[in-house]
Amino acid sequence: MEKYSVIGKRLPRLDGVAKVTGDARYTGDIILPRMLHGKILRSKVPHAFILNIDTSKAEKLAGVKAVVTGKDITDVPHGFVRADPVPAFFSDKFSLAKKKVRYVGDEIAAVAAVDEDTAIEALDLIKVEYEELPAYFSPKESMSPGAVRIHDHAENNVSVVISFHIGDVEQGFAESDIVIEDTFGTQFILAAAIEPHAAVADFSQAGDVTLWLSTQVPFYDQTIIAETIGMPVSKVRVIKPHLGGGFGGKTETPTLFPISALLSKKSGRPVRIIYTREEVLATTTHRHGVSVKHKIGLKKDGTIIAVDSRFFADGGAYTGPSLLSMFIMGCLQNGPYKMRHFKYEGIRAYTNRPYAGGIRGHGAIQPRFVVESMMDMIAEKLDMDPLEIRKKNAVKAGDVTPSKFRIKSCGHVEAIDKATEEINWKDKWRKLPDGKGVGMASLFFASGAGFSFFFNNVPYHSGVNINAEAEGSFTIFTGTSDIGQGSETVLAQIVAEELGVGLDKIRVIASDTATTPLDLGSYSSRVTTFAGNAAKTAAYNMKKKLFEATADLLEANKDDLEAKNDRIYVKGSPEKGITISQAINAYIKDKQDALVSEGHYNPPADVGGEMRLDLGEVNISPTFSFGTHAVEVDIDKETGVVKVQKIAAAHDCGFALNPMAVEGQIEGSIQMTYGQALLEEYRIEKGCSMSNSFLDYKMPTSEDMPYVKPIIVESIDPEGPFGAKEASEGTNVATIPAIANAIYDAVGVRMKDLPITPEKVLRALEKKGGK
Amino acid sequence: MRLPKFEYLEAKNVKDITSLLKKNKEAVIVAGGTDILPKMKQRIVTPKFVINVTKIEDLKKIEFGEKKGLALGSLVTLDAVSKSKPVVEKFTALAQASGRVASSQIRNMGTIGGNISIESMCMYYNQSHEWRKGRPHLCFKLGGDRCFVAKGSKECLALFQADTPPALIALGAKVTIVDGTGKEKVIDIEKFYTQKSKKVNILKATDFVKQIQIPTPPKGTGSCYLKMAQREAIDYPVAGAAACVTVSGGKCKNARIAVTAIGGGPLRLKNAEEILIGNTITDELIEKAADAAYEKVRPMPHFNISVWYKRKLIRVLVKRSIKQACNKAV
Amino acid sequence: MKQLIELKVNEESYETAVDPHRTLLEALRENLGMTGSKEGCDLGACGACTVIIDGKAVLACLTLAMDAQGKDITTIEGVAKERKLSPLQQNFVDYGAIQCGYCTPGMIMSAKALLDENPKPTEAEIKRGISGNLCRCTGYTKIIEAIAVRAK
Repeated sequence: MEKYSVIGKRLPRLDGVAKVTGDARYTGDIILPRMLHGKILRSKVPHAFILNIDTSKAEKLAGVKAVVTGKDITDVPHGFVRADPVPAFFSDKFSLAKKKVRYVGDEIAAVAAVDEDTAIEALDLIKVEYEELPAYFSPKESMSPGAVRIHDHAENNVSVVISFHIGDVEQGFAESDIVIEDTFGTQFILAAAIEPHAAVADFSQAGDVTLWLSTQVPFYDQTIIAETIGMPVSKVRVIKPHLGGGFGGKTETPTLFPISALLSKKSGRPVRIIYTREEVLATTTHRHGVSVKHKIGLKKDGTIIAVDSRFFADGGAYTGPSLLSMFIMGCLQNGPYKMRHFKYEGIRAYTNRPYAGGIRGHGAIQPRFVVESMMDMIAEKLDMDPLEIRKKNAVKAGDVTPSKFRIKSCGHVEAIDKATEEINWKDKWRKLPDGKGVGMASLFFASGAGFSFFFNNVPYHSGVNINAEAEGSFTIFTGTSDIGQGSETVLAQIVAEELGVGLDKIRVIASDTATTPLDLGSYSSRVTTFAGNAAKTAAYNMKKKLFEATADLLEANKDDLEAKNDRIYVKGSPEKGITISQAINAYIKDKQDALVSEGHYNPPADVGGEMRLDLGEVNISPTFSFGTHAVEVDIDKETGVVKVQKIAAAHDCGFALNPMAVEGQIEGSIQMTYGQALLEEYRIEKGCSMSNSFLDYKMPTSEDMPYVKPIIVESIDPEGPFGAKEASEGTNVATIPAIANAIYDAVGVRMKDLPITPEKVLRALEKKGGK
Repeated sequence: MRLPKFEYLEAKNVKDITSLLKKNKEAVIVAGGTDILPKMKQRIVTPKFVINVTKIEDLKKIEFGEKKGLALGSLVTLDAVSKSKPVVEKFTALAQASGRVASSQIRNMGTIGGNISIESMCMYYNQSHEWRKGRPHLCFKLGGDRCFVAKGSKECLALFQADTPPALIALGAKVTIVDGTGKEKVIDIEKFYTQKSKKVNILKATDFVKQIQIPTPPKGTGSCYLKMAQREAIDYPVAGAAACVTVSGGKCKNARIAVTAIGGGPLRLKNAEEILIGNTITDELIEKAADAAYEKVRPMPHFNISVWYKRKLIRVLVKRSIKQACNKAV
Repeated sequence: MKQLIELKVNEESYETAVDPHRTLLEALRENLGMTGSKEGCDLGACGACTVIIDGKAVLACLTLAMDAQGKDITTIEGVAKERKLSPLQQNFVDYGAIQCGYCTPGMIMSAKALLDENPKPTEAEIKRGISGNLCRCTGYTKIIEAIAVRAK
């Protein structure tokens, strides 16, 4: 008999029918009676004091019902990383500018009108007087002596500095037989979810507000909206309807959320704001572009001894979640390879341009491109197979890394073997004709942030409640945000498995701050581990109650009972039992009470704790994922065009709760890294966004994508629910270096700057000459 | 993004177009809408009147006869062009070019008349009203006094990027234009273009394109259009090259070569053609023709693509398109 | 000034008043309450608003509502008949071709138009058929699979 009935199965998602019929309602689809349409006036200058905002003409325009400016919000700026002991100045963004604008796109005023045309017309009637300041479009400019401060607190316009040193790298390099050093660069890319950010706010006469938001973090938004407007958190209700993709771009509260609430408050009518694509691209989170200096020292046998890396990022006008970005870029180098000495410095500069934060693969994409390229460069020097050098240094289950990460399960070596076998590495590496090549790279990612960096004090990171219905079904209440990854389906599978019922007996109510228990949100690949464990616990507690209520009826010890096939019965004698419905009714009759249960998850004691980002010694996550991508490429040597033929992507997700969903995560996430490797680049010129449409911002289409073969590796993690860990952000982290390494195998040029455009390849080929 | 307000007019027949254009100043014709409507949403174009011509069935015909050649009504969709049997068989380059425009939806909507009339594009021009508000100066193409592509340039350097024109030039197409008096004139498609980025074609405000004609190529003719874009779909070419070659007994009897996305219009490369004509087709000869193309083109820099790269690319695309055309000619 | 127009959507006629500068997408979503067709990019570069007009997949965001009069318009709301999913829709569900679902309506309309015209497309033809529909979630793999299964 199979071990599991519901988990481990390729089950279709619960919201599938709604999504293929057009029934699924997204934020922008919501239409409320008397609803107004909001538009935001944005700064047209990159850096200036605001001297005056004249909204009088706009207010007089027929159809305009409310105009708001920075005067209408509190003096509490918002930030993403704000729990103690993080200094308050890392919260540096006002939803509507107070005194100053810091980039072209900064919010200055907003209008609500009876229709969009009127709102657009009204924006043109608002007159803003600026006192322009020198603007800086690169860290070189903003950090030069004498530059005006973009934020008062930031000397030399340094936004974030993270630096730590574990062991002694100088000694490590001295002990090394070989030391290699190089520089790399990555570009800015965008989350580019197809659904633009949207908000609908409905402020009641009684003074509370309900918002429908396109968000990955309803509970954070709730707090930020309350603080921005100056009202109790309890009077702000945030509901996330269906969400059209997040990828990190909907993690930091976008300003339209508080602004829509404010406009609704002022106008006394519901207000909807939907960003234009241009607003999404120019004003919401994008991935940091970095320049990197990286140095690795090794023994002759390939053993890594010391790593010294310096990351430098152009951060843009505000901080967003970048304290984490800069920290993670360092500490995620702590795996999947062992090292004794480790030094990292990450510096982020403020500049007058759109700002960067965390996008899928947050803080992992950039260092992994660097490290995995370096691994291949080292392997070549030592004349080792890239596969062998990785295996030789691979961390194993039970290891503790220099940053105190505890490796509880590890399928890295299995992933290396499976991915390389899939592309027939042994017969191809260094053996293909000129222009063709194979490459590989590994990945390492966290299964959720192990500390609460937003709230100072949380009862738990994820909570799940379950209500039993007399008919024999269950309703799950969860604060998690299904952003498309299928988390509601997976939570339902976990609960169904634990309770021994079919998936059709489970209903999920999610992402409503007023009715669902706290969950910190959908970011850092945390939902499966955190909410999954909470769901499993809640279901287990529910089952215990059912067993207690049933034991007498079945004349059995409650510990001898089993729940399966919608029944509860005595282990080993399925005929001796009752239906779940009968059991629930027995409980209700006996207790004269509703049958409900709760489950909470907090990371174990060896995770998180005080955020000593300065020491670099924080176990950031309950557990970690591993994986390897192996790719095959064809290079057109006349044009420099790189054609990726195949990507074999093996991912250690612990246990695949729903293999179809895991495959979908692998295949889909690779669209983003394939794009970042070869195509995508968010371009800004003198602070002005130049990639303002999906024509200019080139993400891969169905005709661009290579064949992706997802390979699931299961290491059965002791911490995750049923052994599961993340399969979301980590799944694409190895694509870029694997492609770069394959290009090297094919034509012998080492691409160190992203994106790897045909022009760059052709230049490199000409520089190299010959062959 | 919303469209600006305008008055909507509908043309029932070809005569209607002329009279509506004459009567209503500041009018634009909307056929497929895939080029003009985005520009209107961005407020690059804010017409008082929009003339919908999509109800004129006469302009949606594809006619072919061995003697008469091919006649395409200007409202034939790019999808229909790319799938038309005579086009695929005898005017391959055109089928390839129209079949590679943007996406299937755009090809289902966009027309051949629209595609040849597409204006040049530029990252400083094809931007929204909101975006432009942050810029103190307008560029030439928007009626301003400068070009942002190359500082100090005395003229607009927007890039012409349409796919079908080089194919049509290679195939020797002619365009029928109806002017403000209702008079028709037929011109070589090469003459349709000004080679000036600011206004790439000769159409006046009251003119419109009625038809495109292509003579049936002689026996032994093959043609090919090759496009290199950053993406496989939803993209304009980084460069595109079309070649039409007539071969008899291994010798090139005739050749026409044209490229796109290098300047203010599609460019015919006569110097490359001359190398082929009258000579026996060999790989070396084709390389020489490609070298000639490389020497001739002086592309504009474009987005993040350098002049250096574009010239190299043109060389390769010209070479490959000649080769493929020759293969089809046999 | 608003004008009264008649739109034939999913085999039913609707009379509605629109300004001439309204797109079909706006008319569908705002006048008729058919919010299944999505707005993703405003400018015709994402395909989320794809509907079928007279058998061809087109972009509702670049179609004037006035121009859509007298034509047969099919939207995602009209694909399932009598509350039963079409086989194509069922495949999208069964093969995991959906994640966030925002591109899904447009994707299904493009796939439907493709299959209506060419019931047995090759993989290359499927990729070509949906290349005007951007998806950031799936990498297209399972979408192509769902369409290919239908084409078998």
